[in-house]
Parts: sequence; C-alpha cells; structure tokens
Amino acid sequence: MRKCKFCGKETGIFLREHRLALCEDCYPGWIEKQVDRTIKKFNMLNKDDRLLVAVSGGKDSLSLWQILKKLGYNVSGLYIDLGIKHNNYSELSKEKVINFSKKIDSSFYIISLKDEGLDSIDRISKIYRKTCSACGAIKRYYMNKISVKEGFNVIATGHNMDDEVTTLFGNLIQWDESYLDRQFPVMPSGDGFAKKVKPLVFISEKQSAMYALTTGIDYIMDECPYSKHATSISYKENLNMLESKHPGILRFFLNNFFNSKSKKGLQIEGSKLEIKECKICGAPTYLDICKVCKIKENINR
Amino acid sequence: MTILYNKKEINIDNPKSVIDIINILKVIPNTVIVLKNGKIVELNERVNPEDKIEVIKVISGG
Ligand SMILES: [Zn+2]
Ligand SMILES: [Zn+2]
Repeated sequence: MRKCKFCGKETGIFLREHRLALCEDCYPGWIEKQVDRTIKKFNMLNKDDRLLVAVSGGKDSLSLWQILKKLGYNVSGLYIDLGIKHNNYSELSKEKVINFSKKIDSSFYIISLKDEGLDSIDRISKIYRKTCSACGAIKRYYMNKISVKEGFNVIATGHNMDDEVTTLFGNLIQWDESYLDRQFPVMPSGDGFAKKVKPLVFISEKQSAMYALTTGIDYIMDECPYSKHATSISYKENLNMLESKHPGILRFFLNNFFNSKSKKGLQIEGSKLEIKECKICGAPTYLDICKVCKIKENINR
Repeated sequence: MTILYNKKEINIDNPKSVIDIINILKVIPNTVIVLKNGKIVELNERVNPEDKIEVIKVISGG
C-alpha cells in the first residue's frame, strides 16, 4: 500500500494525475486547498460577497456548499424541487439537502416548481423532448431570481471538471461558437444576471465523490431519471477512458482552453445578443418572452 | 462473493483483486470508487471472501 504524502499513513487514495497519495484524513484538506486556489486564480470571490449555492442533493453541490463554508464564505443554499416522482427522487434529494444544511449550519431556500405554476419536470418532460435543457433553463431562471430578490451577488454551481470537459468537448463537436465564447469558470454580472462561478472546475468527478465520502456527506446516489440516456454520460465515460490511459489529460485540455481565453479576453465578450425584459415576468432574456414563461404557457394550455 | 454495486447486491465469482471486480462489472476505473471494509482502495488491492466490498459509481449526467 502507498503512504500518505503528508502523514505517512497507509492509504488507497492515489491521485494519478498529481502522482500524489493521501490518506482519508489528509485528503479533504487537500481538496479544499485546490478549490481555494481555483477561486483565487480566477478571482471568483471575495470574503464580503453573499453567495448562493445551487444544491441538488448530489455529491458535487453538497461538497461545494461545505467547502465554501469551511473557506469562510458567506454562503446559503438554493434547492429547486423539480417534483420528480421516479424512485422518489425529488423528495429524497430534498431531504438530503435539509439534513445537510443542519449539519453544516447554513441557511437555504427552497423553490418548488409546483408552487411556481410549472407543475413538475415529470409533466414538462411530456411536452419537451429535451427535458434536460428545459430543466436547465428553469434552474438558471430561479437561481437568478432568488439572488436578485434576496440580495446575493454571486451564484456558485457545483460543475466539476468532468462536467466542464464534457461540455467543452460537446461544444467543439458542434462547433458552437457562442457557447465556446461563454464557457469559463467565472461569468461577470451584468444585464440583470448575477455573477456566476464554478469553483470545482478543476476537481474531477471522482475526486468530488471521494471528498463527499471522506467527509461523511450523505448525498443522493441515484441518477436523475431524465439524464440516463444523456449523451453527456457517454462522452464522460469515453473521456475518462482517455484519462485512464493518459492521467491528467482532461485537466490539461481544460486548462489550456481557459488559459487561451484568458489571454485573448474572450470570456468577457459574452453573448452579442441584446438583452430585453420578459414581457410577462420582467426577467432578463434574449427573447420577448423568457423560456420559463414560455414553458409555463405550454404546460397550462 | 456478494458485493454492493451502487447500493445493490451483486454476486461475483471469486475475485482475486479489485481489478477483477472492475472487469466483471465492465466499468471504467476512473468512474467508480471501490471501498474494501469501508476504506477507499486502489485497483491492485487483493480481495478475500470475507471482505466487504462496495463499488460506487461516480459519473452522472447533467
Ligand atoms: Zn495523511
Ligand atoms: Zn418571463
């Protein structure tokens, strides 16, 4: 067995891309340090910021919530109840979030699609074939809405390195320039949108899960029933096959992409479309009626 | 032996090491965490019939 680099204890945690063995006691602190480094590198946060973390009950968002709290940030959670009945998914994930907030002594908000006139993702999935895209739009809408209403100036999401590399790969395959322009670990505020940050962007999905396990985070292990056939899982698996053969390659890929953008200043360019106010709800949108109001109309028709 | 794979019990015939289990489950090593008697272990870790083995899938869509 290998020995922990910091304390010499025997361990089965070996981070191949860093050639680093860490025991289960030293590992969490190392991850927190990596996240702190990413926050500083991209100038994501200040200690006087008010942070809203989008939490799903999964390993990444709960880990992020805990890490930000430990690093001394003023942070609250936002849980969006999607009303997914399969395997009691939404009820169980909500329970995990509530229990976790008590454990780390942090406040949180709950938004329920039902209360908002959006019924549930189960219902929306019957109308929208691209359920994940509709769900994403709803989540972004309420993250922004709550942050404006409750005075949070930064929204943090638990996107991990595998998520980001998968998105980058997908955007490259599609050669989607507007998405490539916007993909960055920090998006400045403006046009009615709050600043958005992704502090776990260099923490791999496996590292994030190991952090949750080694710090005793009780997260929902079930996959969202709508993402089962998502292309992103297939991309992730294949990219991880590559990572298994060439440890560190995904980090290298992502880091080079971000570095080249930093040099060119592409990340601040953002979208070239004009921002308007939604004619129904007043939210910032590129269309006359925002996507969420459109979904509401369609399901209540 | 019986192992836990994502909280479900699965039977695997006499695995000698973690890598045998990974191969039988046909999973990519980077996409799972393996616990032996509650501790995270590497692929080359030996496995005995009395060990409690749990494999946790870490990849999710989104
Ligand atoms: Zn140690
Ligand atoms: Zn609207």
